[in-house]
Amino acid sequence: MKQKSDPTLNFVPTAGATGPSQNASAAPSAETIQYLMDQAAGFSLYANPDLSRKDDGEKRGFVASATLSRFNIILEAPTSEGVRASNAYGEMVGKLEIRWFIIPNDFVAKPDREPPPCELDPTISQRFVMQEATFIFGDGHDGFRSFGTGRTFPMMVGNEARAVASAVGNVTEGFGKFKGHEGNFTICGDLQANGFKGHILVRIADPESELRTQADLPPMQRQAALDPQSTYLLWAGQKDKGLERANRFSVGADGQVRGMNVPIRIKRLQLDCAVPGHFESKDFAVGQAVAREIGFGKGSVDGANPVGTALNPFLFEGVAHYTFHDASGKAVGTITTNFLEGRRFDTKLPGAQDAPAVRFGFFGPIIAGSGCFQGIEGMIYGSTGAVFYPPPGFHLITHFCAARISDPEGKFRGALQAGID
Amino acid sequence: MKKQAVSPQPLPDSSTVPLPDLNHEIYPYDLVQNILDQTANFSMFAVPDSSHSVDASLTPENPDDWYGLNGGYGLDWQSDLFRFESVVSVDGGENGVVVDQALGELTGNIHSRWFFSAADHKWSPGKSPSPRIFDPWRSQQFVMQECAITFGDEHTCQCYGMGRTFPINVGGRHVLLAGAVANITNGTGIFAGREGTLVCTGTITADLGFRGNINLRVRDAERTIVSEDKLSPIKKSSEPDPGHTFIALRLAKKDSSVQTTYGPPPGNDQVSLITPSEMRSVRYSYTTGKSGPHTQMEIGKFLGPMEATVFFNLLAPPGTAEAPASFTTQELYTFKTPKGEVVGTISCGVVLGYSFALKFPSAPGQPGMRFAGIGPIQGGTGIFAGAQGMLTVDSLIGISPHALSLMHVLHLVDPAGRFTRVVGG
Repeated sequence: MKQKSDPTLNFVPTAGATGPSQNASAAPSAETIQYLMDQAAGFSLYANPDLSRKDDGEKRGFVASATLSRFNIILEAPTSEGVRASNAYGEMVGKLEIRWFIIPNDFVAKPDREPPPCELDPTISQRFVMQEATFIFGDGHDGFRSFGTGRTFPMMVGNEARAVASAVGNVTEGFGKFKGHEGNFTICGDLQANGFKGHILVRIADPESELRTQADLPPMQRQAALDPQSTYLLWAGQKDKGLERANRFSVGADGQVRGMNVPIRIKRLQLDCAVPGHFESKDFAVGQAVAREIGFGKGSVDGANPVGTALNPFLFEGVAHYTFHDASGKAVGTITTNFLEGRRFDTKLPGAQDAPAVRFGFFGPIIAGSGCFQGIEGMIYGSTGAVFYPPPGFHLITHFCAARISDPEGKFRGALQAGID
Repeated sequence: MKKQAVSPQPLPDSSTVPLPDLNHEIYPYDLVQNILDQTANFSMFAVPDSSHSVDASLTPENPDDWYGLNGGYGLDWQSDLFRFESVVSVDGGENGVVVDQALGELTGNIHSRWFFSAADHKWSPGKSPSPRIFDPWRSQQFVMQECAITFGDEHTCQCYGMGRTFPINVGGRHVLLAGAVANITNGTGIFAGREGTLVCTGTITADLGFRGNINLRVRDAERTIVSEDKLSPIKKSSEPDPGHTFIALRLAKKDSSVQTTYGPPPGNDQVSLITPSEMRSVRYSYTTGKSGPHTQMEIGKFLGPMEATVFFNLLAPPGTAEAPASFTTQELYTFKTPKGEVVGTISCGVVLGYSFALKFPSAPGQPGMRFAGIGPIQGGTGIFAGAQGMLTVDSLIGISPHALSLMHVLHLVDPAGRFTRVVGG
């Protein structure tokens, strides 16, 4: 089928065709492609500024070190009483070295381009660049370097005014077990004078299963909550096997495609990692459906090149509406979120080289809530793998998605749980 | 003050077209002032209708198109409309300025659909803007694609307009102000066939509603809406909007001796007009009884001078409903005690303003215009030091003579309620 309009509106990567139909007998099935796409390590980390680090004299920007802790978020099955998740802060698994800078709105950030001086103003939303963000696990043998950009959002978290920061980062170079791996991550936390404090949601392609294990990880060594004013929710987003699987073009009154309507099923998700010696990630587990997401997305820049590369990711945006339901299917709360920034990187799936595979990160503020989410403030963000064929072709996706909610009274915080089963 | 003629000057682009003498009186100044004041002025307060779903669609004709998710690329909101009076006084006491705010009877409702647009999207009724996602942390322009005000079943008016959001930070809390300018496109009942202009200033609430002041100014040369009789006093229903003070003002020139002069040309084929006026407190009242809506304006005490510099393209064709002329302003409001002591000033300016040419059947050949605009408060001095908020203007002016009939509101974000005295509260 011919596309109706500019493909950059539709998230469709350059390999855009309607599906693996040219040589259907040789092409992998949707189930196979989903399996190949899900060969990825997903894990959550919590960064906390390392106060023991000495000032190295760099006065500009945020040049700091943070400890990285194991961080497990388990979403409970929603009930008529609402939606809750346990947030378990565990042992230190590594450290994060950052060199980040606030940047002007029109600055084109690149890894080899130092930004001009720009001060943090905690009263307004500003862009920032993660010029360097180096993740070092365990004894320092495993880790990766990265580059990315994001934004600050002045918000009240409880009774504290904070510069909430969210950003998408791309792995530029892995070392140790991460050598040769592609991946991206999304952060959401607070930008403070001593660096970044918050959640990091990571997705690293792992076709050879070098980063993952099916064995049990060492038990988490719990520590006190590092941000008791916030609660994090975590879920997976995947396509239904029914009619809801299909994406549809959104067509304006002028007959032009303005973007794509994307339905997604939201399910419980378990991520975990540990560093008993070397880094290890547990195979991610997807559980029961807890919500339905309907959303609209489009390219952020009209007429932009639809190719997404490490240096020039494809920029996208969109609105998503989540309806959480209890076991009987009754809605208990809704959230509307505007994903103001999305960064898509085209990729190849070993075993399905022709599939238009992508990985991407995204973030945006919660715009409104109803039911148990009425009046909530926070952010939703994620790191995702997907294979997009334009409608009526299929779309396969596995979002690792999280919400950070201002929750000083613990309304959304559940009792600690070991897993989703 | 002695009357001074403004000598014709060349346009800034060296055109040979001379600048017109705006102070020349085609008709007597007092006659033009009287004609300009023949308007029905509705001062209303919008409170989000809790029965209106936050999940309302921007595309109700196609709810399965999720481009229409409310809050994504636009806002679909509905508010109840209450009678609203806000009378300011300068007493020189501890607060200096006190505003008696009263939210009165429920009189109707407003339903509107806003679509965010590129900053360069022009006023174009019936044309949808290209999609721009709602970003509450950025100042964004929007198109008021639909807007319907209803008083009972009979009296309605539809409007088209443009607006802008203004994110501010109040004690660490993110607050999103929004203001808009709209033109009546259609009406029923007393609004049938009327010309009029609407402005609003308020906040976007957590449930995607609009809460704030809406002023509608409708021409009423026949005086069928403006009441000669005293209207029933306002019946206070609740506090309008804690943390927000709305200073309603009536501005006009003191008399015909006050001259409008040309200021330095700002470039881009624009001219600047320096327009002095005096501020007065005012009570804009309206009722919506069985005989339909009626309004009344009571002009109060002198509060101080206001000087506005208006920037516009003198060569632009007269504004129409389809293509109004745009303008911006820079304004300084100086509040004085009855003894003449300055208690504070507010600086602000219109950043989104539209004007529409007027014709006066009772004064053929007299040019004039109605115009409306919004913009942010930039700062203040004295008791207004650190002021944040918005300005709205909903006005009519004559051209030769340059008589003014200005309905302005200074919307101050006032978290401590420093300036507000809730009437009956």
